[in-house]
Amino acid sequence: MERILFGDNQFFAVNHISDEKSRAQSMKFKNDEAIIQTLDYAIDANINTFMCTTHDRIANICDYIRNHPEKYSNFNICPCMPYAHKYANAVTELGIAGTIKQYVPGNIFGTLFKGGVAYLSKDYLSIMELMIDAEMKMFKGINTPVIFLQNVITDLLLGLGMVDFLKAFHEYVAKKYNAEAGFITMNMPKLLTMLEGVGITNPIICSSINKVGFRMSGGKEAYEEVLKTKKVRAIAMQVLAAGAIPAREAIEYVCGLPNVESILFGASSRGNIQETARLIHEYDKMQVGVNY
Amino acid sequence: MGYHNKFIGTFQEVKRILDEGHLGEVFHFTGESYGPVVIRAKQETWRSDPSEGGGCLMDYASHVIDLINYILGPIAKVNGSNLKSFYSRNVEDAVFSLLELENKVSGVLSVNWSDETYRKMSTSLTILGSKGKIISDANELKVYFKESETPAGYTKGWNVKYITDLTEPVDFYLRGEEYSSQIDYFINAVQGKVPNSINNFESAWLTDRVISLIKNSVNN
Repeated sequence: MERILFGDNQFFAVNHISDEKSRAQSMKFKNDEAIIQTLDYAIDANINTFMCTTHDRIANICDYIRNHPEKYSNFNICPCMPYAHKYANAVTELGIAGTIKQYVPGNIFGTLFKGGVAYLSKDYLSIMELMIDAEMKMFKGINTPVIFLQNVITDLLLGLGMVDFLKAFHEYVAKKYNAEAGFITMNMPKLLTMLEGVGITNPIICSSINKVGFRMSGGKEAYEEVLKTKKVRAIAMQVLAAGAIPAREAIEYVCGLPNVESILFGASSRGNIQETARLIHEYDKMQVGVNY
Repeated sequence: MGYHNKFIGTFQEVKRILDEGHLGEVFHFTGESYGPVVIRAKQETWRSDPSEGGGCLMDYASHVIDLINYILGPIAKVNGSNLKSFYSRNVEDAVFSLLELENKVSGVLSVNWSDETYRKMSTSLTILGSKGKIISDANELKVYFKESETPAGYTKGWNVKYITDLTEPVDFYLRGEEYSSQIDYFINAVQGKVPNSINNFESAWLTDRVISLIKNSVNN
């Protein structure tokens, strides 16, 4: 994975500390051109991987990328699925059965109930595969080296102990898309233990990692211990803790941790993108030669 | 009773500021919640069936009512309400009411679940007092103090605090610290480790009573 990954929260009015900022972002990125321009700022800062949810509007961005192959020949997208609000809204409108009918192609209910209860959980895995395919459609022809499961699903499955699904996701994206599976979580130490338990070694896990311990369930120390002693390809997100830590201090902390392979951040302005990338490179250079 | 707003750090801080009297005499409040639940005429689900708890009053406004009861004191009187249906046939999509607390403080309730300019449910409280003003939602707390006599960590004029500074970490996170805190509190209350004072039957009854006062205050 690249050292720096560019995120998409700012494009979809996701702001963890201010509804006003969220509304301002919603206005700023009303048009797809504004998103594309910001992605180009990231590329100018030598950030060539975009990690994004499978929001409907991403389909338009994908069209643009496909239509400009020279410009984006080195560009990667890491899809994060599912975009939960899309399904939550569909369930409100259509109910659970209606939602599955809408998003899963074919007559799934025929298959699902044919075999009776004994086959139910197996068929849920095939529903999952069909839903992954549905979410992946928009990325056809684009490099997608890592495909992520969103934290709302990862953590729900983790909490319920349904590790079979995590394992099935891991295997399916490798088999069908020749991609690696990534897991987004707010409970990283717990997830790693569970994944190791089903034989998934050195997984890609994206989680909040920041100096103040924000959204690091189980505690910051537990995270630091995992990074020092276990095999994991960690991606740090929320390194600024939604703005609670000044950028320099935040980056210094994360760059000083072992096993953090990548840092994920999102920003709206050219200046902020360049400045964050510059700080990461600055502190990375200081780490060269440091042994853990 | 699953009123999760009481476990959100910003609202807990609002309660602390009020309970310690830092806002002085409360003059007026506004409780609001907006979100994109029903944004066009659509197929019927449980949300459009009042007998299953559907409707903006029971599903959405109840959370704001409960939060007002908790932070400011029980609502005792409703001086008139508009229940509006924009898209739904059997239930209301918005609730607008004039409220009055037991101590005669007045307030406005404005709740609408058919507002697609919000990405998800957004609840906020604005409270005006003799010593200042509070505007708070689940992410951000803005407090204005008229004088330099303030609680620790605040100064005269505007103060802004973020949820990141006001959230206690939880052991397991799923879609918001408040949900984990709420479940932890419930289990601790069952085990007698904490006083059963948040979200008990009495507070739920007080909220239900306001829901019925609102229904009765609609002048057709």
